[in-house]
Amino acid sequence: MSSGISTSVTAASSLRGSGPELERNLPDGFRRLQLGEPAPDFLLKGVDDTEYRLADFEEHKFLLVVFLSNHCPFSHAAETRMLPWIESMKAQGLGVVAIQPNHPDAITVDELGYSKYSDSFEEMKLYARENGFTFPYLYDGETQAAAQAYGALATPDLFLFDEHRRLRYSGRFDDSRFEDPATVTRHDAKNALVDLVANRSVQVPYARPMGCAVKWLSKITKVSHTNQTSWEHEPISLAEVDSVGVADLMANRSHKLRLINLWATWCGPCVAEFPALTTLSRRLRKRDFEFVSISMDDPKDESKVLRFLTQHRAGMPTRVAASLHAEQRTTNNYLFTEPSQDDLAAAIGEGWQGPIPFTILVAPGGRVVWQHNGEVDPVELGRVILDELGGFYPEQENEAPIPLWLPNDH
Amino acid sequence: MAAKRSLRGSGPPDCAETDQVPPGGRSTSPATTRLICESDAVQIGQPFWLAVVLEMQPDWHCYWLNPGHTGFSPKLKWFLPESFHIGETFWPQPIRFMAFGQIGFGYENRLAWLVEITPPEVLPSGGQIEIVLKAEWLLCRDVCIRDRVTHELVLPVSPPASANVLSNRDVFDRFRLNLPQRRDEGLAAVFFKEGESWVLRLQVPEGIAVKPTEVYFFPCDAGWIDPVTDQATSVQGTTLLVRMRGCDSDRSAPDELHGVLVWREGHAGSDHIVARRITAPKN
Repeated sequence: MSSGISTSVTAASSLRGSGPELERNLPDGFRRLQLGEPAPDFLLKGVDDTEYRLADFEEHKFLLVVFLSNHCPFSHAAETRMLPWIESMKAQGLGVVAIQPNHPDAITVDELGYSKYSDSFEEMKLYARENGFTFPYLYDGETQAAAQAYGALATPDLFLFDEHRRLRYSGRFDDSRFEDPATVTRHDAKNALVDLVANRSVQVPYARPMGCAVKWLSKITKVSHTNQTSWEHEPISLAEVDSVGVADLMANRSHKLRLINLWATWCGPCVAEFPALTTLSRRLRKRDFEFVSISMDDPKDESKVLRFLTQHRAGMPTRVAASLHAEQRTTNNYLFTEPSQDDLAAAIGEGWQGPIPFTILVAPGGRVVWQHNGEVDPVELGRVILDELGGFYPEQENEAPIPLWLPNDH
Repeated sequence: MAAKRSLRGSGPPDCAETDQVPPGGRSTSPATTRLICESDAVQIGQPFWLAVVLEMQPDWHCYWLNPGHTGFSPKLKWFLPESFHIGETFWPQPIRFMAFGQIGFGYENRLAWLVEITPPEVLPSGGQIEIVLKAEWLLCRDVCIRDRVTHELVLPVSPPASANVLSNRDVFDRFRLNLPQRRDEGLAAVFFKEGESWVLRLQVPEGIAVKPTEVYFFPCDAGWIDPVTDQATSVQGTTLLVRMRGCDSDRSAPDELHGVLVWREGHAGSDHIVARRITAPKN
């Protein structure tokens, strides 16, 4: 049997020197596993609360060690194609173990806009169950020992080993970051396994990983600071609105999914739920989404309303501010001014019976996606929003190109 | 709007209830209200009492003068005939509750505000007068409804020499039991700043045993005393001290502290809750 190690492709270097930015964000001593090198051992806990090591997979002829994560849209897109492929290749002797390399504290809030789950171990269990993982899904976030041993750079990042547990392919699953399989032009991992099964040299043993950078533990302090301060400098403003203005908001002539919340400073459940709504807004700040608050306080209490919004940092992300300008609006925080709410009720629609808090989700064009009277369940609301926005990168012609390698952001 | 009922000689006067429809126009209020008069008629020069009775469905609450952390205080606006004088509004003793993770001061189930009206010395007898109340309050459970009602009460005017029939006397006496006693005389109540706390100090009347663990002061002014932080009470001899934390605000302390002090007094087997209206000057 040939060694199966191609010599036509220069083995990847340690990846140091691939760029100053990349180098700065990698742990000290970082080294990517090289072609032909043996699979490093690991001892990690899986979502079934069982500990796994490399030897637990020795029954399989080929082994795929794949680094995945709950939060990453690249991972989500790749999984839609990878999971069925894995099932189809089990008969060919493929064993799979997935490793989640991230600590949840190393993820900024606005990196969670494509998933209802962060990368905690408990959320891995939910994610694996919902997505039908049929292989162990192990948590490496506490020490990232496996991520460093393999030299994982992103999620997803694949390492395919032969029957001697020598590395024969590493890198991406395929070349598309979108959900639609029609956008794939190169099936890198599939082709590599085909070569392995046929006992021939892997023609393309390395394809640069494409995904969300591994969230190294060293990032935690910076992330904590970012999560506390990144919206502290966003401007907070308040404008008056009447029922005609609310009708216009409900018509939603933007391209964004719009969450509108009727509230007041004197309303206990409104005050109780407001932090969850601003947290949701921060989580989705990189998506086509905006949070619009409409206070039912008396107009004479404008300063009280503004004080509350300031206290809760209900500011406006730069991305949203730019889109507001196109709509000739200046803020997403409003104070309703009319004494009677009859016209307001007509503008909101049949779903509002009068009590507050009232929250309504309006798609572009004015379609009501969801509405709720009373304190919202942020988990349920997050699920509804993600169902509408999707957990993948949207294919948009005017979307700015994203580099194939993303050192620390996506 | 329900038709106004004629009240001439028809027994205890009650108002015609208008539909209680909260703003927004669609849902039904979780409360009913009545405006009732203690006496059957107005007698020239004789004060009479009105009660605004609010009855809420289970699990709903409304708020006191000082609503606590959130909420707002009910508003009662009266429209009286010329030369009629309205006295102060008497609020029932509030309770302290926890809702939505916040401390509130207010009421559950049923309450009645009492107000005394004094008619003029000269009034044509045999006629009738109309009193209108416009009220607004906040009712909350899992949602909050800003409820607005209008009540109209028509009362006949009886001759001065006629007997003053108080058909609703029993009902009003029960309402009066829920009012804080106006018995702060002799308590020598004062308040002062001590470190970060505001302290209410008063003298417990002789013969009364107060349980410090069951003392609470409801301040009338909102935004000055923190409703969330527990109050610390101690008894030193006959001196009762109630320590309260101030709110983080720029408001300066008033010259007088107004509120309701609730305590349990008496002895085992025969103690009861007493509520007193307090007016304490700044020391």
